[in-house]
Amino acid sequence: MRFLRLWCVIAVGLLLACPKCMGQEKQKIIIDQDGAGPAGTDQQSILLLVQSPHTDVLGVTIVTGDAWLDEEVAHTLRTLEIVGRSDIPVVPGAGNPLVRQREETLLWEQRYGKITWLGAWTPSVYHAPDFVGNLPEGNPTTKPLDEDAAHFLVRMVRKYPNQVTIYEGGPMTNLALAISLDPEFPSLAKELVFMGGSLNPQTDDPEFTNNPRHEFNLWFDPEASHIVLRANWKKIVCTPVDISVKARLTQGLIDQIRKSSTPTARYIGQFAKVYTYDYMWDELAAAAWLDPSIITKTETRFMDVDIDRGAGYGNVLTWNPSDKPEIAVRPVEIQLDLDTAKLDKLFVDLLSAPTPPKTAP
Amino acid sequence: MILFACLFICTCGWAQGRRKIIIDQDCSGPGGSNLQAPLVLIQSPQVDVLGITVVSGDQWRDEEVAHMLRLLEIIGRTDIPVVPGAAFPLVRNREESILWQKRYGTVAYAGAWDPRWWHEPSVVPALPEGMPATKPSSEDAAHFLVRMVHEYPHEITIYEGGPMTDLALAISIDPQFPSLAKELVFMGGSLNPHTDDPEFTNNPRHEFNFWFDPDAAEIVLRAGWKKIICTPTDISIKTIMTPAMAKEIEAAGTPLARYVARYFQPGPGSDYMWDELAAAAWIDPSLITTQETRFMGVDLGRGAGYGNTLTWTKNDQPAFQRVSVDIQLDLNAPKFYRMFVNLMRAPTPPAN
Repeated sequence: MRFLRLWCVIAVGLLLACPKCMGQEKQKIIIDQDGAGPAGTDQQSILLLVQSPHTDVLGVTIVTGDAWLDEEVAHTLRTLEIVGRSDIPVVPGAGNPLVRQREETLLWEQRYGKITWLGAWTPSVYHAPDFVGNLPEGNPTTKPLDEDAAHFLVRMVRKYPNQVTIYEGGPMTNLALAISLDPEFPSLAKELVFMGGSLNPQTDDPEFTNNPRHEFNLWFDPEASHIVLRANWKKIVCTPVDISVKARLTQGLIDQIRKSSTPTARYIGQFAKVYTYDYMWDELAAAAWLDPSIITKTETRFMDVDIDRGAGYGNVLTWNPSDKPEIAVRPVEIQLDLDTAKLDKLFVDLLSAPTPPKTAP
Repeated sequence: MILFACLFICTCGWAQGRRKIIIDQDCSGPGGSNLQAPLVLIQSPQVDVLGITVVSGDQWRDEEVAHMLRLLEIIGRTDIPVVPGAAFPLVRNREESILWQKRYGTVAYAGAWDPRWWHEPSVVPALPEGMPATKPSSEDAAHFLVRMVHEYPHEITIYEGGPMTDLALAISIDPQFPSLAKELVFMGGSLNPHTDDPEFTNNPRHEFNFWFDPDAAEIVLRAGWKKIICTPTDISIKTIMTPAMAKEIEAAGTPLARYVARYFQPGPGSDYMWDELAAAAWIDPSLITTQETRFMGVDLGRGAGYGNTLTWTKNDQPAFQRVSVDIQLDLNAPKFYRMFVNLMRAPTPPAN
């Protein structure tokens, strides 16, 4: 009996000594996402972060990218309804990139060659920006926040200085607007983690074989990418195509999740699909932030995006310290290899789990 | 008696139909074109200035906010909100523009970046006209602009006297912003000014407001405004403020008149009435005697032409859809000077 009491005291002591376990030190994060859906990399990465017991998702800010702003807001609202987390605000952001436009891009393609994936502008899926239609997963009844993304981002880092991770899963338009509104925004954030960019992916995926420096998120809004990558963040972590192509989403993973009957698992089971070149683009960026030991190789380089208007417009530029230009460029931790078994396990475990409730204030 | 009746009719009848305007300005000071243009609008009884949004350009935003606040104190119109806007252009920055100039040639005038007077952006040097006691709005310019056009749809003229950063931000945040405004009038751009002013002789398509933030200017010029009116360098260089005008203004003896005269600086470049003409011609379009309509854009290639004005007519326009721009090319100068002097000598209309 005496030993049992001692064990209880030790266990409670350990628990109290672990702030994360007691839910006191949840990591604040804002997810900026081009929330195409249903399911897919954009929604799945949001879910990974929402499903983690260690995060306090302050909001999901939405940007046009893989799809248009309005439909992405609808998909994201609906996802949060399905998992019972409508307390997390969905904040509409930029409907278009800062400078790049669809018409000009079509002309650019005539001169420089076709781009495989144009997101919302891809001809096979193109529709009017404000068209939403009926969502396969059901139409949302909740509403987005009545504040624009850029102001929300600025307001949050000022409310919680040096505490908020900015997660970027889409084009960087909203972050660039936040920086223009408040040049202190990046330094007041804790860090920037993003899926984007491409150096030299080893793949036969035709999207990259002729242009290894092309990646959709940074390409869609090159000026925003340039504004964000040169800004004075304390830390920047990049999940580029080079590592994305090593993290495949498989039917096996979806089937494992299907064994669970939680709302999240049912949503994934019903709507997740596997395509030919199907990578866990944004999920890996989220998972690696939740558990950095998933990443087995990183390199630090200085990174920027080409904003000249010719063949290289939107391409990634990188340098080492020895060859970097004289203008201010920032060091970026670039993830290059991973432990896929660890990633897969985290992916299945989190998306099978019950959704943690809102953090008590 | 007739004069009294006219004045009575004017103040009663016109007060109800006052034209709403928001002034986006790089309010460098003290005195000078950037601050005299808001004075033209504030002094006009037919105009309702809803606010002045402030952008970095000729000087840095923070010192410009101070100059504007102080001027409103001096003339007794602290009811007009001064709303801080963008401290930096969207993309272009000083560092890169220095390298660009090493490659493509130095610009004659670089505003807040000009090495002759450059200082850190947040520094507000002591103001010769006195430091302001009043404070700017806690709202940012882009948000204010968007909020106002929703509050008064289709009523507000957007006046732009500086780089277009704030307007571009408003458009990016709310693509409906331009169509909810009544119109855009701006000082900026240059086609082919006939001058020996060295700022333009080697580059007739260069003008500072566009050059400082080319990306913002292009975002604004391609947007869905109902109407755009441009006061380019070509007409600006046909104006001049003279010591005689300053003296005539000073004689009125009001705080405003004394301020204008005190800080008037004659001399090449500093005495063109760049922004005052844009404001005056909006109040009285009959000041403009020659005008042309063209499509307008800004060169965003990052090479030698970065920031230059681009224009086209219907025959040669590229494959785009954009609103055409009414470009002012010549004016009735004596009428303009008379109007300007009268406005600067007049008592300041009170707040609403």
